[in-house]
Amino acid sequence: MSSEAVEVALYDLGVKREARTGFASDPEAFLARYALTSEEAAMIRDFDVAGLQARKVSPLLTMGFWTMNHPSRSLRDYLAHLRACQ
Amino acid sequence: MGKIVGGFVLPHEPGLFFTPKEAAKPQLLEVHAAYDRVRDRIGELQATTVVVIGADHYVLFGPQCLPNFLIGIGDVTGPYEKFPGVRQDEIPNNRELARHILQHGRVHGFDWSASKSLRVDHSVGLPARICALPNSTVKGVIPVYLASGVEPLIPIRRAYEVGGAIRAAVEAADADERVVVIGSGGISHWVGMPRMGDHNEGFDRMVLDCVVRGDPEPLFALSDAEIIEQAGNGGLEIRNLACAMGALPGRSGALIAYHNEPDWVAGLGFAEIHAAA
Repeated sequence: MSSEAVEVALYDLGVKREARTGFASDPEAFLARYALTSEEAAMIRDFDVAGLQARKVSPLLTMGFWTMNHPSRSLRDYLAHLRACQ
Repeated sequence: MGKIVGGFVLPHEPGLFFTPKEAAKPQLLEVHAAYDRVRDRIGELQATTVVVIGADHYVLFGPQCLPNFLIGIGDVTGPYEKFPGVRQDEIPNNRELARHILQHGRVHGFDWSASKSLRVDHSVGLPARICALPNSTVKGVIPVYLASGVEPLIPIRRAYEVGGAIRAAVEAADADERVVVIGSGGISHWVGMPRMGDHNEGFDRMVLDCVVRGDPEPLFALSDAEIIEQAGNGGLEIRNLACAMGALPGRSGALIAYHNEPDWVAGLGFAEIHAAA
């Protein structure tokens, strides 16, 4: 598994408004733009930030991804999710 | 000939600046007093230019291009994040000196990356706005970003050497500049990691002791894995502190303040590095 394409997708979702809009409206179609495996795409779609970190994706990106895209956009929820997965 | 007249290390935790001073608790007021102390010392040193060394947090630079060390040589604005009472428009740059540092470095083995138009984040923008620009003597702020937050990381020893390259360039400049160098970074902090909010005061004070003694060797001896274990991924930002130390090699300093609180993400260390040996 390569984390590079995942990091590109998460970077875009963190900093680009049009990416966030596309992801929110049709996650599958949005993620198809990137060279992701089906497993990688599912981890992003499902906000599996613990799984992404376990695959060496930068925590800076997983945090930004969650707080800019998750329905709660809550840092508290993000940390609770991470800690529950430990 | 230019001169490095002083150096500082300080944190850039964004959360400190979301609360207006009027609503701040005593601990936060003490932190702001430390920033005020740095601001006032920059004025007392009659600095004309301040070089701020910061860390990208995987926002300014994406996976497509990750500079090892970068200098802003043109337009500078920011910080891009909104903080109460903090301007986000142009930050005056000393373009002539910035371009000189870049060219001098490239001739002497330091292949700077350059930005002709840079919107800085809080790591550079807050020290620029809070500590540098309030002083009437300061005519420009030169932004420098090290690969200190996103892998692949600049080695700590190389970060120190980049500080030396800044010093050499300043001393070779024609202009009669009085330059202060700020290494901007939190010490222990786990950004986006399960331990986020934790601190390691022992590690933080060890780093600050290195800064105050002017001894980078214990920092050079740390592996990135050891830093992440002891001080989190945010602790990797000690590269920025090492860079400021490299601009004032062997110089001792003085601790200004150290704080950590449960509500704050990072161990917050402030110190001055004196230009005189």
